[in-house]
Amino acid sequence: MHRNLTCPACGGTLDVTTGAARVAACPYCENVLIVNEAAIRALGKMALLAETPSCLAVGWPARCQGREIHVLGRIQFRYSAGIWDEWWIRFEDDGSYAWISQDEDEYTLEIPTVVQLQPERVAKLRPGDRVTVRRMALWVNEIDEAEVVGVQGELPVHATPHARMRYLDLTDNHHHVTIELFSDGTYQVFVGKHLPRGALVSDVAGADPNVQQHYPPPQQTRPDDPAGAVVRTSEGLHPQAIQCLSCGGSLELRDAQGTALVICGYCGAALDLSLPGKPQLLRMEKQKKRKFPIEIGAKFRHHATEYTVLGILRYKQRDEGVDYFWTAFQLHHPEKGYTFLELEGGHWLFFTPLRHPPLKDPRKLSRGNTLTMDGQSYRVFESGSCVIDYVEGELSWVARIGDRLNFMDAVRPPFLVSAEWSANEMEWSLGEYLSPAQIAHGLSIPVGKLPSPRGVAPAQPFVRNRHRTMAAIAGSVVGCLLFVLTLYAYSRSGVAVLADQTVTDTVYLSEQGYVSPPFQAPAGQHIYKLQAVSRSLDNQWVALSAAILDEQEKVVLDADATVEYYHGVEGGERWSEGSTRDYTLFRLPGPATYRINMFGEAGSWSSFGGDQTALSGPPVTVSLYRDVQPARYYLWGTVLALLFPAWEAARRILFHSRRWSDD
Amino acid sequence: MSKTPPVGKDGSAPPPRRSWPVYLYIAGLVVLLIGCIGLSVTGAALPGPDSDEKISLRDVQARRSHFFRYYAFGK
Repeated sequence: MHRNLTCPACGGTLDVTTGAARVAACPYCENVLIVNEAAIRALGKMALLAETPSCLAVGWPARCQGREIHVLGRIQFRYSAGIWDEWWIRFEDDGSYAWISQDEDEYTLEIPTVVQLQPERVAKLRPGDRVTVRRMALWVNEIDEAEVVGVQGELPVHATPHARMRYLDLTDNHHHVTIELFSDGTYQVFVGKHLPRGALVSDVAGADPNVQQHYPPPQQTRPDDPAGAVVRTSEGLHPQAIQCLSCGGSLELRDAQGTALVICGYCGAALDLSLPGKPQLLRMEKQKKRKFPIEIGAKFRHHATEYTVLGILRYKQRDEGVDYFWTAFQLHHPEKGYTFLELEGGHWLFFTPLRHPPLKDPRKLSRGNTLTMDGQSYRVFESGSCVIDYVEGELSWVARIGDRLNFMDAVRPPFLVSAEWSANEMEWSLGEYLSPAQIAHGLSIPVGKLPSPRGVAPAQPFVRNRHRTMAAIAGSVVGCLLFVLTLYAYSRSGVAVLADQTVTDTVYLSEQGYVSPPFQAPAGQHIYKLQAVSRSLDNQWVALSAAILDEQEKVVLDADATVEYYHGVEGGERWSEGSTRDYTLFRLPGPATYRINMFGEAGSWSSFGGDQTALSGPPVTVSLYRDVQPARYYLWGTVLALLFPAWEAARRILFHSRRWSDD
Repeated sequence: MSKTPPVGKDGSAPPPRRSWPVYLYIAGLVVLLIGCIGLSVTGAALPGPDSDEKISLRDVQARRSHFFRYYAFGK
């Protein structure tokens, strides 16, 4: 239903294209007009609208998720941290209406929904609380009050300039629900869905759909301007340069559209720019300018995107009487929006807003708890509260010195999930640890100009060096192989040449000693193991000396074996020492015939008399094995090969323990 | 994971990484493995017959007799 109306205040002509419109804004005199009643009347004059970068413009067609839309009107709200816009649209295919909410560069398609709410329950909700709306389990993201700044085009609601409302933003990562509570007790609920980049495309000829830009508003004609040359718009503009309300200094804004707070570089005064066209001097303690490794206006390049450093915030946390500080640099890119670089103890984190935060109440998490997000586990590192201690430059929200924030950080190096909440709002962001070299590269400065990192940061990854890793893997493989060979060698007893020859003390203590039967050594070098076992040792020792004799009864080799075993009770505890078994290894060439001549000495030990040689001793069982494989070389090799992998593992464990240490 | 910074400490191009120490280390591991197997199989490091200065059983028993007389029996 197309209607041509005349503004009762200025006589200007305005078109109302839909019967659903209840109010329309006069593009000439900034009056909001009621248009659905018998007589057109003015609701009041609105303030200038802030010019927010958008891919939507009133009167212009566009496509939303592939469907043709026509932008009918716009309402702009101001809240404690800035402004946002609601665009009223009509889908051209079925004639249905919807809203597109725009907060900075985030767009949400919203459909009004009828939901029965209990206002007294809604009034008790706080950010982070869980609530179910239409079977959707949502958590409260934001609660705040907003004021209508002004309108443009036509709207289906009575949007009176300066009217106030309380709103709640709820989300479950897939849906976005907004509850608007009005002063008369009425409320409206919108169920929305986030529109990804590219889902909203402007039909303006030549426009790049991926770039937000300002399109001229549709030209309107006035009675006194039949040529239609008037391009006047109700949109206000932040000037690129503003005057400080305190010292009169000229301040150049780098992000004229998005800046809500600017600190005068001359006198340190804080100017609130969230109300379009009306800068306000904030009562904020003026501070001495501090020096930071990154200056305002510096360019930081990360992932092929060049950000501009707009503002600096310093936070202070007091813990057990000690103040801890960290600095956040607000970065801006016209397409990517706002991000942060955070500096603490020489360590850097690059933060981006988290669109799908974990569905867990961060207020109930404490150090060591697990937080799951996108199938990945994060471990809560810290939670607490801090205050803003210093502000400099431009910020996209009004941050005051002394503002208190609560936070919870959970880590999964090199990432850190952070939740920050105040009485009104809860925000999640994802940080990625960047090394000083990466930061220096992004800033195009030598790394020496950045502060040196101290200790291990919560999200600092253990940096693996490819070569060290390769060496550690090689060492582990060889070490494991040698260990298997050690076990194999231990398990092989060899061929029994002399089996279990029992030698009594009368024999091994005699002058002739024990002489074994002759044994044949096959051709070649063979390894032999001479083993002595005495199971009846009782605080005794037997030292055996073996001589290997050849066929000419010449001693070709000397070998020793000592068995000793002591035990007792000391301080109520049993102890034992030594072994009833000993062996010695040697090699013998063949073919040849050998014999063993073995002498021994025996002795005993007591706590009173100490070590004493005895004239008698326990019997000893002697065995000789051939083709034995000594395990000792494999074992030594295992230890040597595993030294470097063990060192690397120790480095890593030490690194993680330093991360989680209370210091 | 964190990316390796494409710059050196002073912001200049990083020096090429040297890999020869790793290859030297791996070569050392191979020598260690072969050496351990060799020593275990051949027993080259174990005591073997000494071709020089062979003494007879009689000499050994004579020494033994001496030991008994002077130490074991306290003479």
